[in-house]
Amino acid sequence: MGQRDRVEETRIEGVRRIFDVNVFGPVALTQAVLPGMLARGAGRVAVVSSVLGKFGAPGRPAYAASKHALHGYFDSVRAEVHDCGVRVTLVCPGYGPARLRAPGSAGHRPRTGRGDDRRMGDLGGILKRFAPTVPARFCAAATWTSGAAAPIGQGRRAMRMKTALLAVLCAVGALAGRAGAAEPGQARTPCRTIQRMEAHEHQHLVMYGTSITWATTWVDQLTRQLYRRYPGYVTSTNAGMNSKNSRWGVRHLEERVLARNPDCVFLEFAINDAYAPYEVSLEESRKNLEDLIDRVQAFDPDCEVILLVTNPVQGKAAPVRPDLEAYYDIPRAVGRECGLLVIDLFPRWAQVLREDPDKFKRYAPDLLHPGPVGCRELITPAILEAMGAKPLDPD
Amino acid sequence: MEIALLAVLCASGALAARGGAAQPAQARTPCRTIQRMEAREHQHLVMYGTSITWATTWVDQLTRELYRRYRGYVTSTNAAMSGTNSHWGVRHLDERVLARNPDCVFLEFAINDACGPHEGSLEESRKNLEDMIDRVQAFNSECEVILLVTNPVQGKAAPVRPTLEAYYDIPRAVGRERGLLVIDLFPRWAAVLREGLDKFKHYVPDLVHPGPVGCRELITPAILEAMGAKPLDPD
Repeated sequence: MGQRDRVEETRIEGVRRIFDVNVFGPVALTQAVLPGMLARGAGRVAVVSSVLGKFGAPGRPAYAASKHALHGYFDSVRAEVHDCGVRVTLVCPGYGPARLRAPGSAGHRPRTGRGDDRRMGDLGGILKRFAPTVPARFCAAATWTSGAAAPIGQGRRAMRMKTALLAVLCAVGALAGRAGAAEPGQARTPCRTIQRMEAHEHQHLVMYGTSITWATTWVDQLTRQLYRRYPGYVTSTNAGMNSKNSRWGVRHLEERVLARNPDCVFLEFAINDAYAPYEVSLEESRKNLEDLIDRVQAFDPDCEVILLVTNPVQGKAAPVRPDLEAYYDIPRAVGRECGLLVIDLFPRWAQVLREDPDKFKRYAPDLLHPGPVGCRELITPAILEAMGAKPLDPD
Repeated sequence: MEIALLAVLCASGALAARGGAAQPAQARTPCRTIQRMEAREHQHLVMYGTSITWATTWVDQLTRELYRRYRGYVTSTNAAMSGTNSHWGVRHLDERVLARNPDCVFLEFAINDACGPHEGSLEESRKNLEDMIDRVQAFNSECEVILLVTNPVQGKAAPVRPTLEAYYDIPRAVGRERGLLVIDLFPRWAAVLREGLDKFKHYVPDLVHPGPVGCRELITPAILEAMGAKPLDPD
């Protein structure tokens, strides 16, 4: 059970509840299972602690205290049972699900964004304070990397080394990830959303855009593909709407996107901003996109924003979008400037169009909207790849 | 005998009509969610249940049908998961349902509560369902909770659910007691089954999970009707 309250806001009942769950729960369970292990002369007790069992953090006194208590208790248990063949392991993840907060604590806010919760408690937040120039996404990556099992008994030297390793990971991440544009075909490190699913954190994706998002099947396909890879850790909402542009997107962001507490938002409006009769200028398109990004990030700084560049259009939809490619350059540029993941499907679509116009028609039957085959064979795999999703298990 | 049979039919009819149980083909007044969409209020639907919700296509179909009728005023999240029961539902309600600020929640767990290996008793199934309803309503008293009673199962999935109908009676009873809309698809499915296993298999290829055809021809229209959604505009 987590807790994210300042000291003066913490109620003593909340602290007791945290200790009940985090300390007395594992203690009682251990007392129940240990006699059997001792009788067999073998066994391992694995206790989920936290890096906050090693040091404190602002806003987390009761939580950190409960995790420190685990270390005191189980270090002692280890010494007691070691000669009897029973091993004790404390696992210290650096980043994990931030949903298990004590109901009734001052920080318990079931309805709204969890950005603060994540920032204050996880190691990524701490790293950000020490290295404010490192983009948040690389802190998250690094802390997740550190979040694998960390056995006890490493001591301060090991902790210092671990911290050094984290700093190196941050630096490497910052260098390697400078450009966000992901053309399918490149091997990608997992994006933040995938990393969090891999860390068993449930992620809610909201796709927000035009009919290319709403009236096609890639959102459903992508969600199901992610579900197959990370069962139970993904849900999605298709918040797109036909015939809409970024002006509409700005107006409806609150109720269609933010109200759903997204962990990841896909934005896709350029194709209709480019539709001449809507009279959305290049400047306005950029301004609207930046407004959308700013508001999502203000709502939850940990929410990943992914920008989608979609397909070329043909037939009668083409002349009414004379500057389509200039509009497509906007998410590319904004993504690069803001360090966001840009999934640029255009080159792949352009290749299809160049090499096999019939195939393009098979993929986008009305020459504008990708059909189920185009989604299945081009869009969905390309997005999975660009997000860095793991391949499906062979079974 | 005939009189006795009639009496039983009348009694069951009276029971069915008492609460919110909506058997498709009855004309329904629009449910709260539909009324709000008609009043141009955006509604977010969260469907929460088993593979009958997750691994089928009715959620997507229903959302798209509602979108066609109330353009722009509906979004949805399929928050279900295959192989789960109401115990799992209780555990994950916060992050999968409440965190999405739903205006309407569909609950559908009875089919797996009835499954032997899950070891959920009738009492637990009812308790879990009531817990989820209570928490949704405590979170947002305006949120409409709709209880879904799904299909019979056949083949090897049937023997592991020996008392399926008793579990299906739980949402019916709870819905009646609490005045919730219960969309009871079972009678319609039972009618299909009476027409023969081949017809049932056409709709439910693996004899458990309705396929796209079963969703399109039976589930989605039945839910739309039970919710009281308006017919599509002729264009």
